[in-house]
Amino acid sequence: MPKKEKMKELAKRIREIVGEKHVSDSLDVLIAYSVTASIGFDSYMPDLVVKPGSTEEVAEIVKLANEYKIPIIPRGGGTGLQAEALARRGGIILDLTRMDKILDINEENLSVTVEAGVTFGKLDKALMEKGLWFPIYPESSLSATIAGNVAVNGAGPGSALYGCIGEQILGLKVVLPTGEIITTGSMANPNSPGHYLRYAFGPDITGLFIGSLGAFGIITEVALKIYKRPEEFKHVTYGFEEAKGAMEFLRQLLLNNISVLHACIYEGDILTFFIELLGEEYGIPKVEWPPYVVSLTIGGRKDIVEHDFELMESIAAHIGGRNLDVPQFPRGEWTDRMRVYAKASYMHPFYWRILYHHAPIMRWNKAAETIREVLEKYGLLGHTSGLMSGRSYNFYPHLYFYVDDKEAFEKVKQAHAELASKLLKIGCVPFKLAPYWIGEIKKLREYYGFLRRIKRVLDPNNIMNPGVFLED
Amino acid sequence: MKLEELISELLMCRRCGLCRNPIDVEHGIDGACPVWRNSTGFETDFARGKIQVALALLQGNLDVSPEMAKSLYRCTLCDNCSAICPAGLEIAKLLEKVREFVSSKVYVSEKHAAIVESIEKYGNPYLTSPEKRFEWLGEDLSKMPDEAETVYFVGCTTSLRTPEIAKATIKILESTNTDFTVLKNEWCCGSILLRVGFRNEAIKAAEKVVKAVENTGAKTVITSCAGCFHALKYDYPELLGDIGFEVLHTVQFIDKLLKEGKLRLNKLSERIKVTYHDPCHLGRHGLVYEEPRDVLKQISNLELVEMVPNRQFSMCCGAGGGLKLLEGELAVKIASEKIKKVLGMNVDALVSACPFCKYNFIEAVSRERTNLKVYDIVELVVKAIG
Repeated sequence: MPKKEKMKELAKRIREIVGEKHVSDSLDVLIAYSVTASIGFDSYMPDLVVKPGSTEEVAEIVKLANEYKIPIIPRGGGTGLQAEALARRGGIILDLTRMDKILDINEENLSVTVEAGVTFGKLDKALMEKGLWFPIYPESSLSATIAGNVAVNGAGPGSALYGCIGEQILGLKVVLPTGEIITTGSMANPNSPGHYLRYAFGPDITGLFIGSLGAFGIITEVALKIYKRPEEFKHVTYGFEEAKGAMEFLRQLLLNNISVLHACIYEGDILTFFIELLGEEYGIPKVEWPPYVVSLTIGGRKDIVEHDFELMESIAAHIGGRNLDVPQFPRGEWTDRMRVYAKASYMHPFYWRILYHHAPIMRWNKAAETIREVLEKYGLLGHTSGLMSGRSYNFYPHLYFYVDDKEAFEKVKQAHAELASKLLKIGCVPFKLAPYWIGEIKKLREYYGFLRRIKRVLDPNNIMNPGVFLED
Repeated sequence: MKLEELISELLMCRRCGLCRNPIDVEHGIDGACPVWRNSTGFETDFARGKIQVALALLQGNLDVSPEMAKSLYRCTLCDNCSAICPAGLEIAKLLEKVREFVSSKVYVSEKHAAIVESIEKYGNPYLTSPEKRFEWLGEDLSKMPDEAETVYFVGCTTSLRTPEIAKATIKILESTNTDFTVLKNEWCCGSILLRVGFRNEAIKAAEKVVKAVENTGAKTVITSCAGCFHALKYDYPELLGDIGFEVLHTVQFIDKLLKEGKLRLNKLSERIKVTYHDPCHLGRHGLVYEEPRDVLKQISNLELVEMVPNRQFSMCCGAGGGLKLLEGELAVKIASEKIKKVLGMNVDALVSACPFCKYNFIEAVSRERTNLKVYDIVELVVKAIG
């Protein structure tokens, strides 16, 4: 059957599942779904957009997609920056934002279970009403969905102490590429009173879907650990003369179990850039900045925060750091944690490509140097920002270009590929599957082979977000 | 604005998607796009997707047809998306420009053709004969002077849909001995024409209004309609240059009178608890947030409680931007969402400062089968005058 007719028939059958109004193949709608926040990538037209209302509906759609061998691309808030949710081979975009119920705030097990389309802002509101907390705020908290963030294993303010979102997951409900529905973790046992343990029934099946961009299945529910909201915060900025000092400081914070929720190292141009964009709004005074600045927030129980602050001061002093007495900087970052990065990313007129990755804490300087070198080599503007994420530093360097400068865009693409290669060489890693890393991951022959084998077994018709394994 | 400029500005949307449904309790943000929340919620139902459609239309990648352009009109132009936009885009303004481009090529709906014709023929978008405009004033119209210091610009919706607002306004003006008149040949301010993209027709309407005001010699025009206020105060200077008179919304005028001691408000006979709805044209567009609250606080026996979100993040009533005209059901659904929220606040009344908001809310109140009262602020002021 020709594709057009096949799609027409498929659309009709999907309409029978989800209802007429939740399916669209109108050209204007398809255009709107041909892009996401991935401004550094091309657009790709899907054939159909569907907004399912339940896991069961998702499963039925996936079964049909198998029958017709049509790709299916799950999409959350459309906030992915690296071509994660684009219909690179056409097919069905499954917009999961309609599934936005907070299913269970389980105070007994200290977990919350949400449908795929719940945003971080919505979750924060619901938990706040009970004095509870989910501690990670990705940079797109106001628009990103929880399941989408799990599919990219995101991080943000809060990650210094709590890691990437993967660290906080207790279990998932997933529609497999062949349409079966599984629940992972303790809830795989239907008699479980809720999610309370991720590593149940042997191997970590949950982990298979974290950072998978939906290539191994569609996450329709996520269960997360929840905590009591912090009662006390302390915002402090430290200055260091050398990168080594700043890195050692972060390592010491980890070693000494300091309750640091958010920490960033700023240097030179990126510091100036940030202050120019947000300094006034955050009330940051004009000061002589040292070469390296650590802006951080500690938070939690009052007695612990007070104690940790004292200890942190002595650690800083011991390794040559000084408290710059500029609490406004980290306070601004923390208070604005749901959108500080969005502001810093869009207040200027640039388009950009981003290269999310993790660097070992003690190689922060090497990663930053590598980014700077590549920017310089290609004559590009950009930055080396990132944030502490558990035992690693989560970099999100931007490579800038103007939207209508095609030449610069080509340069950005080349620089981006070179940077990916160089970063892997110094020990950095991506935290998700992503088209632009695939070229590099392929070089890890056996590892990549294993991934492909899993993919083939789970998804024999290769319909689940096949773009993930296509090189950029 | 040239086409290239418009495209360049729209390209500054880098698609972060904050304009869909942001929730940030600590900053008083609880949603942005009322259309997305009350429709199927495809990308084309909020700003990010609309901008993609707009770009495709402007760049020639999508045919300019009613079917392909309709999502651009499924928007109240409330600009809550601009309030959250990290790129600082003025989205309502840009969408108006895109609509201008579309409306110069096709009528997206017959309803648009009808209002253009109605305004040209009757001076109002309601297909209503001009004689009906001042029916609420009765014979007093003839007593209105030809010249005065101040003109009360009533507006089509107030005159023809919510005349109680006009009557209350007149009472306030009279009780404060304000030297005022109305425009006996009052014409539509042109706001709706601008919102749905008929700029040339709006200019004609604006010229008529300005001429009529000039004939009275008035230095100040006050209006109780947030839409008229926006048109006269912000659009007219852009369309026509200096208009030669000051424009105030009634809440600003009343607030001024109260602060100058020229108006005193008494205790209401019955205690009332209210919440205030910020009309988009008055709040987000006109930055008039405190005056209505200050006026309400001057009324004894009235308790004002704030709904969340409010002020710059307030959710729209659903009527604006031509939505009520084009998709009336959706407009009322949006208002109903707000009414349900207000019902959970245990207040007696919802107060606004725009006839269009009131008109839409009243429909929603009836839909929700509740006895929540909906007032325009001037009606409460009149109650307090006694």
